[in-house]
Amino acid sequence: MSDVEAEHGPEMASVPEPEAEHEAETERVPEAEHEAEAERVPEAAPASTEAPPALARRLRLGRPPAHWLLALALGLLTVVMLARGHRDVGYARDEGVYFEASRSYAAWVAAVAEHPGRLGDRKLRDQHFKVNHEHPVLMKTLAGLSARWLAAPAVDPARPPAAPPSGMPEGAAMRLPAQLLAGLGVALLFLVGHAWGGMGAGLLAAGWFILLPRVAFHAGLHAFDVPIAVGVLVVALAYRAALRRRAWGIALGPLLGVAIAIKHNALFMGPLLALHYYLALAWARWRHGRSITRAQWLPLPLLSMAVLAPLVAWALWPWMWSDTVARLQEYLEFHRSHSWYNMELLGTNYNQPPMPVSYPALMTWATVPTALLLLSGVGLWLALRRDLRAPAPEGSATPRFGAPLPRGWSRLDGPWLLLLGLFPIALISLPSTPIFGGTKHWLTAYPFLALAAAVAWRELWDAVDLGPRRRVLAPVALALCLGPAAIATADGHPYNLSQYAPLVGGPRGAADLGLNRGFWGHAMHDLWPTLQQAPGPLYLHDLHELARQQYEREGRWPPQLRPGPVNRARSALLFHELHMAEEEQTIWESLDTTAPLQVLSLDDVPLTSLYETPPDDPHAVP
Amino acid sequence: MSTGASPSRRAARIGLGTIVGVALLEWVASASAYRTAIAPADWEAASLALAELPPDEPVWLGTPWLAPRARMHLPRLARWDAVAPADLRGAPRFHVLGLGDDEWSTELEDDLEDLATPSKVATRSLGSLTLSTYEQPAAGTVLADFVDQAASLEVSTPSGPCRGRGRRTCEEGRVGVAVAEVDYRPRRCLELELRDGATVSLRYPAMPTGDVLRGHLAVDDFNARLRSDAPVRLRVSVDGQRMAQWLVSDEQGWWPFAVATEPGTHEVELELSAAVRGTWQRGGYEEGRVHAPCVELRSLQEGSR
Repeated sequence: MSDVEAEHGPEMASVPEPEAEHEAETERVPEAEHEAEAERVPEAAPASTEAPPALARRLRLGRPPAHWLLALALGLLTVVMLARGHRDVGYARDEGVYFEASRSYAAWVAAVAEHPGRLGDRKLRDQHFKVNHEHPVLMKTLAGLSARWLAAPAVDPARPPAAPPSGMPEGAAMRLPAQLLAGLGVALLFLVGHAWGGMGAGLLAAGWFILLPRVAFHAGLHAFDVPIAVGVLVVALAYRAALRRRAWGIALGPLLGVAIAIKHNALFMGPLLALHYYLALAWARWRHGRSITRAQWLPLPLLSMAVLAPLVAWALWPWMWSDTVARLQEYLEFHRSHSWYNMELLGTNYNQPPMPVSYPALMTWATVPTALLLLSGVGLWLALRRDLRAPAPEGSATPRFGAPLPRGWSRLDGPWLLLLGLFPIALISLPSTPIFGGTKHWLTAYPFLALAAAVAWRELWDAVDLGPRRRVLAPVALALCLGPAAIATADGHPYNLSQYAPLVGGPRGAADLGLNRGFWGHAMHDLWPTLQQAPGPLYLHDLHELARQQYEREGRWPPQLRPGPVNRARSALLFHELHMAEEEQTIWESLDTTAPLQVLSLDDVPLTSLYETPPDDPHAVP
Repeated sequence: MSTGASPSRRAARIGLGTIVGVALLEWVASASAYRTAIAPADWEAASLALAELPPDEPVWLGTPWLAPRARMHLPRLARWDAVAPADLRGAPRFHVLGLGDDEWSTELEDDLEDLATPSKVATRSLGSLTLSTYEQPAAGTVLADFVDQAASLEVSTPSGPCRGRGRRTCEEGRVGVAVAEVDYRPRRCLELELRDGATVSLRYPAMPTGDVLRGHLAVDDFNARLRSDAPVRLRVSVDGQRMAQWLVSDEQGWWPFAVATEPGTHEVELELSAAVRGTWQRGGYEEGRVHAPCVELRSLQEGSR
């Protein structure tokens, strides 16, 4: 379905919810959404023209609408692209630790599965979950289990094979759960965008997110940043549905618990959604003159988040099963007093707060194409404006504990998008926030900025009223808007942590401006052939020893290349960052050369240098 | 239903037109941003061009982030005078290699210190690279250099002379030529690792001098990025007469100093006193780690004789 086929109403009430679409159509009629009904018709029609068997009808097993199939296809395509493409992405520092933790957690699951009685064995639990206990364990446990099921056996470093073993590398298997979640995120964004504005809006929302170089990079890693962005999206959508449906109200708490079990960013969701809820309630009272019932004071969605989410999060984190209060305090304190990372911004290295307040905004602009940001900004503004101007709908259902904002009560989608789209960026902007590092720390904002862009897409195309010409122009415009992000991602792979937006000038422009080059010791792909011949010991610099050991377990690490300290090294890696200048100079002195043997670059910009002691090299420092 | 919330047709056209226009601009920008600009032939051309230059004319980079690749491809740019210059003095004629129109850089501007802006006298295109030639007559000529002649310096502490040919070792610590990182830039200098409060003397018995001694003092230390600790005392003596004394802290970065001299040959002595040990590093406070003062000194003839 092209954009021109979908006619869309002024509200955004048609986010896919768990119920059948036919039910969804009926819910929005009273809320001045008669125009919105039309949007589902083209998709729903094929399903209704068939006559499914009674059982299938009862189970709602009719042929799925085309856009659901397309969402599935987009999700699968995302997973396949990430699974294949990230074989070339080196292991990031954090991943090295997560690999180790994942094996340990999965070993506990295996032990308990074999002897269920050991579930209560605290010693066994603590032994397995102590490693990397500053982060929740869900993704790491899933990664460990994925590796147990899918990965090729580990290589013995003492007897390395001639070639890496066949089968899925363990690291790739461990990255798979996060990649599956990224696929889910893409599918969800497409579905919501499609429901709000048709095919173009759906593709825009999905593409806005996954085609960004930084998102594409993080989406394929065994890390938590894209998984939590998807987790937060799921929770936010569930909350929105829970305002009208009891089943989602019950599910909301467990879903939030799962999100908390992915990463701590989800801890902000409860307060944020509660704020949104009471804002919507106040708006209904003040603007629409509605009476607030007692059932709305503390409704099921909020109660579910308050009660069920902590229980589920606790259940999913066996480390917390003992000494819960003390360990919880330790966990919260770790992130509240997080150590300061070094981060370069406009040529200045920051390693203690405050970072400039503009840092996240500037880095968002520098890494997200401007046309996409403009769409998001316009979408947020239009969504807010619509909420502000919408009169009280005539007729409404009675609010209930399980459906506190039923039909006829505005769910304030504008503020919902605004809160969730800007809060992560605002949080990192606070001068008191520790310097965490790169853009990954506010990726949780991006799904909502993508949805805001979908709102803009719908509103603008509806308003320009181009008639049949829209059928041609809208897809062209969509390609124009998404193209720069896609090109940047293709160009930057497998080093998209160092990629920058076209108006910044890409990597060269960012280097001119003095923006961070990268920070995870992963940019090694093009060095592998040279490393096969490099003399040891090798100074690893920012390549984490556990990441190196992961290469070794997979038979990818050159056997002769033992790691060593820089003063004994005969070769050295240097991952370029402003604050690493001292490291590079130490390498010069230790290896008696200032000239690298090979420089790994992205569009001319050096990311990683490989140095070797050159016995007869004229470059050698006298 | 109309709530008046939808944008007007005109506003929507302007909005959509603007967004699509920006997207088009991004496509155009993508075409130049997402590709390699420097071809192998450009490096070869640069290599040939640099080979033609007189060896005593330094070559610096106008695109600082290109440094690792430049050092890899061009031996001339891997030399210490290119990698870690003290400043732009002593180079009445020099060259700047840059990408595209990068004919100058903020780093070169910083190294200019109080020198006047040099005159660009030639520009040569080398594919995507550009080689610019500058002249700065006021830069003077270097007559002698403490770092280059480190092996002939007399290094001593109150307990006696320091021993060794390269890195000198004394009871109070060590002195040697090193590359210090100061404000994220490499600086080649004499680095001192001394006990708390120790004083070391670096003496150049018969130093050819012009009309000025110029040098820099800094602390090779991550500490400088976090806080400023006890300063380093620097004294300069010529023929046994103290000419100047300063206290310099790590916050002052690559700190320049100068002392006027009579042309000729003189005994020049630098005396440095180290501050108390204990510095902040990446892993936190290291109480046993010493501050490492880093000093360089050159004699120059800047005016006409």
